[in-house]
Amino acid sequence: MNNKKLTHHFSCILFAALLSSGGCSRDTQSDITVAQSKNSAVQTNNDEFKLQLQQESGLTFPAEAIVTHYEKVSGSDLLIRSQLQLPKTIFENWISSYQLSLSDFSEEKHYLLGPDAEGWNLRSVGNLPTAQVMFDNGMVLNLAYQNVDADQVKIYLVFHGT
Amino acid sequence: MSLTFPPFAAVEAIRNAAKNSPPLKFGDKGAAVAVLQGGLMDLGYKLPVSTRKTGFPDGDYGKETKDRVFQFQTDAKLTKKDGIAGKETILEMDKRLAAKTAKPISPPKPPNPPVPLPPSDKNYTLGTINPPIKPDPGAGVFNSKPTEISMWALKQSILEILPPRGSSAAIIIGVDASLHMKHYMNATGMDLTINLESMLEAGPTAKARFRDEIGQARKFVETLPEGRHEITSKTVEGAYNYKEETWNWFYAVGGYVSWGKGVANIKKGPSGREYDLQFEYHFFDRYNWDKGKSVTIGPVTITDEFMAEFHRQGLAQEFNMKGLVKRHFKWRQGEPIPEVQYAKGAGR
Repeated sequence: MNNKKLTHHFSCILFAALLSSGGCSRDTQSDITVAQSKNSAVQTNNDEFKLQLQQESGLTFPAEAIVTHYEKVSGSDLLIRSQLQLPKTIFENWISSYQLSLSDFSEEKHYLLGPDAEGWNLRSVGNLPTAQVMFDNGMVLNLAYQNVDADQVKIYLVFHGT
Repeated sequence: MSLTFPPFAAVEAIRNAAKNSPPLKFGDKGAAVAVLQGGLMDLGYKLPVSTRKTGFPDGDYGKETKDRVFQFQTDAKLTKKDGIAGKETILEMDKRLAAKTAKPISPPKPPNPPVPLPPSDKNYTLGTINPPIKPDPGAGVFNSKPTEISMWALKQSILEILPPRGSSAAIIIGVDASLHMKHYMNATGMDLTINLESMLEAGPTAKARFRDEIGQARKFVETLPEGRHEITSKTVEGAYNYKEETWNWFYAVGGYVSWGKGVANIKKGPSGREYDLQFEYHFFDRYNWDKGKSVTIGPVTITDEFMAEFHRQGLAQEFNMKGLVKRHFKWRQGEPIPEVQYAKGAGR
């Protein structure tokens, strides 16, 4: 079989398999069948997720931090979305290691946290004060905080590659 | 049992053959057969007839391929010796290829504790020197390893779904994403200028980042004295094209950095200061497959493991993506920038 025939044959096989593949949904804009990624994992186990979060990001978190949401999305650059809760004073100490203070946080940066997703519902909490840290390895950390009570804050964390 | 040799694991028909549903056999043709032939060659079984035209597998399960599969089954002392590549044969080949090539990249190591750069909200400075960019390290040195036949065959199977040969990648991951992947496969390493206007239209987060940058430039311009000033961001800022917003740009770019620069003219008007800003919004990203990336396009599961290996084997090459959009803003002291000026083509 020559290359041209081979090429044509590959196309037929691949496209036929594509059309018959399962796990598809409808693209509402183009009415074209698209495959849905199964590469996300939404999990809620604190110790395990804190470990994963630290291993994936290279960041270290205070012992007092409780991870309530951890999601790693594969597809293009690494993307991690996580939620943590910790005492506010601990939080302020922690962000100072990234040369941040509360005065660096701005609601104008809220968009960096991205849209709502499974387990990631930000619309309901409004625009949170958000700040960004750029790292020397091309990684980006976006942080937002929400006061839970006088002592505790909830942290929304988006860590991604570029 | 899952396959561990990346070219085998990537192709649905081989994954199916590993479950005998169905096996690959005499008379079969296509990408899976070519990858199987590449595997046989990487294990030392020569296929002179099947490769006589190009030096690479032809994807045709003919007598020669059947004979080599039989030979492998005999050499490996498998229970079935029938020249059919079914579960036992595929799993044994997979095990040997994975061990031989030791290709699967070791599980991601925790990155070194990153060093934070200065906070990004220090905004602008006078001048035209672009802020420093720190792209992620990528997959290593281009063309630093010998090319394996099975990897070549796998690359061909991916090229079949990319433009101009195929359309399935464009349908599933988007036009820009498939073009960027094709540019990677072309292995030129040349810079690629992306359609930044399209990206800004497609993604609300990208658009918000764009407007945020304009807001920073405006604030800085309003602190300057009357006259002409060249301004540039002090630092780049990162942003991400989320898949919930834009499937195409999620795969085409993912995370990126951007910054602004421009020329401001400030004068005193009858009712206060008047501002004129020729603004440029710059984009940069490095297209690479370092870790944590994957996408399934029909029968092929494209993973960071072999895509990065393509780069190291010289079958693909990382490249820089750049982008630029321009806007012309005019506003008066104390008044917002008219909304129409944010739009593409406005104020030129």
